[in-house]
Amino acid sequence: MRLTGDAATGASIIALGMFFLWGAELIDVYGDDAIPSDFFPRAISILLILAGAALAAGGVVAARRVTPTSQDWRDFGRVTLPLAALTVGYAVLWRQIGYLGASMIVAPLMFLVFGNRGWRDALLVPAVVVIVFFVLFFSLMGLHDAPGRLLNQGPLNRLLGA
Amino acid sequence: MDLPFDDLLRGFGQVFGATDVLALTLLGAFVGVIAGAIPGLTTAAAIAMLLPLTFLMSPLASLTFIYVISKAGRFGGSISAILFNTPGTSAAAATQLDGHPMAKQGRAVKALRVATMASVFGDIGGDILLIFFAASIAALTISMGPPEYFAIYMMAFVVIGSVVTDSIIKGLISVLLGMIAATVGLDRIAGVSRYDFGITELLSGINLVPLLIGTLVLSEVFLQAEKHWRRQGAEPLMPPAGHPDDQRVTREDVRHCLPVMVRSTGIGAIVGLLPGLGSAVACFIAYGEERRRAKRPELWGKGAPEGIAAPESANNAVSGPSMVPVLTLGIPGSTIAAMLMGVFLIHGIQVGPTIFVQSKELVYALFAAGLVGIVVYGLIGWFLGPLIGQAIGRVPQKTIYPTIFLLTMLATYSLRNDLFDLYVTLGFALIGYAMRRTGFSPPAFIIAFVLAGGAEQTLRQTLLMSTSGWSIFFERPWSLFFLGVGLAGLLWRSWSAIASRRRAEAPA
Repeated sequence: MRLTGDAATGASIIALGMFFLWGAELIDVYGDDAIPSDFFPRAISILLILAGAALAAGGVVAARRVTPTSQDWRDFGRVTLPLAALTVGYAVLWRQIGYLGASMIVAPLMFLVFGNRGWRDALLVPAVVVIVFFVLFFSLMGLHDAPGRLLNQGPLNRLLGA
Repeated sequence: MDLPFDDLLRGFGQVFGATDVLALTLLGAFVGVIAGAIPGLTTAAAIAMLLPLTFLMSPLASLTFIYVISKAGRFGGSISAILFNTPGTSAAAATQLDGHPMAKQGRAVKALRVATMASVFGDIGGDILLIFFAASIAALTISMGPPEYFAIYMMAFVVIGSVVTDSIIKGLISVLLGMIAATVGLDRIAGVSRYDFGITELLSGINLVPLLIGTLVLSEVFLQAEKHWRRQGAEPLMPPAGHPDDQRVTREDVRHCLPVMVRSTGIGAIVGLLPGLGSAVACFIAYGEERRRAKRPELWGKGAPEGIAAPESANNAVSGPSMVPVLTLGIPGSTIAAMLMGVFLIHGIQVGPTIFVQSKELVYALFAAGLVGIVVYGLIGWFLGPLIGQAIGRVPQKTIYPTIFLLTMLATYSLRNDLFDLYVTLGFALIGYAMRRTGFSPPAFIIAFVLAGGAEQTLRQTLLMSTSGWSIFFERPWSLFFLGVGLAGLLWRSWSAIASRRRAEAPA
């Protein structure tokens, strides 16, 4: 199953190699090093560009063998991208309101994505899972939670009058 | 060659003398069987999630836990392959060819017991090879210096890159991507920052755990979510229960399976020694070979016990020998070996030929724990395999994956109590997702990430000690040999790829 043909993938690898080659330019180099710090990144970037070019060339030659994959792109946009955004949102929420609060919001959404419906499957089960993990990691294993800025010093705190 | 019986006995003494090690051996066997049996969750992914927990353990306990999970996981894959026609791991893919037909005929318990017997046989066979030969191989490599090691790294990159996927070029690109990821952060020799782009958290480099969890676990959660969205994630169905008389493994079955298991163990052991090939390759080679040799090949694919014995012996026989390159050269040939190497390094244990001198007791205790783990998962498989299968069949997949998502986030956070690692995990999840979608190899990416630091360091050391510049690699026989092996591997793989493409395109 492929998102795009090898030609497009190869072109992306070339772009990635060029990006890393540009990044290697930013590395400070001292003249007396036998192998300077930028040697390895530079060498790998150049090899990436060459390998990407070989892949793209192979993709152009064998273009007929590549399957069209618009369905994959649709799934990426419809499922994976929102899930990635949910993960970012989870990290942001966790920092602001701590593990328990953030997980109580994100876990039901995650369960919904996987087709869990009804109060038991979409609300109760995720809540139980979150609490079990909380007890396991924070209470029993002694993991320290993120400060929960919003609750401790933010507007929510002021709203609650604490 | 001195046979290390005394060392092994002392190893058993350590395992049985330390409650935590023994308890983790038992727990590891259970976790491995269950993780292996859950369709979609690979053993490597389960280990990646549990890796942060091992940082709290002693070196032997943590290594034992991971090692036993990896062994039991290879067997666990056969449970879902036999019961649900969905291999829990790629290593069990060949097992389903005869295992599931047996289950459909009402002989599921017998199929699971044949798989258990063959797995235990293969695993012990592979471990014997590891225990009795690893130290000797290490003694041969102890005189090697930085040029030889750099040549070994190059050989590993080329060989692994060229065999892990159908496309050689994509395998090699996966390796290069892993290498470039390893250069992020402070250069450990010059103290210069690389690719941090002003993000302070990246100065210390990319941690192995978020990379593993992202590439292996979270990317799988994304892919499974897509499957559920498309309504492809059908819940597994239990096969019918048969007559109790049909479930017994008879003396006749053992007599038929024994030569199959011996030959397949040999195949698995050889494949395990070669970096990059792994259990999935071993099980199909053994299955094909035994089917070719079978007196009644027409029964294969329809529920022949030998068709389970061959792949299961082979895929478990890979386990021990795959540790040989890690312990003797510091070169992991698989994702799990790379993770084990990471655990060694986290606990300050240098992997390589000197390990048999500096950490001999630990290594033999690990071998002993591996053998105990095999017995434990054998007992679990023999007596509890069907029950575990039933339990997994009852837990809906739509509950498993969101739970795994929450667990991955916690496992990542628990590493350093730093939420930045969640973003790193997400980044690598998207990379892993894209790699799987486009035919690249996450295992090659991970192995290269683990090895790249050592490769760069040995290159620098080599050029510092060299009076003739780069030609030092061609002046030292072992260095030349390893570079030659890498080149020969690449040429052989390219030639076989071209030949198979020509065969496929040839008119019938």
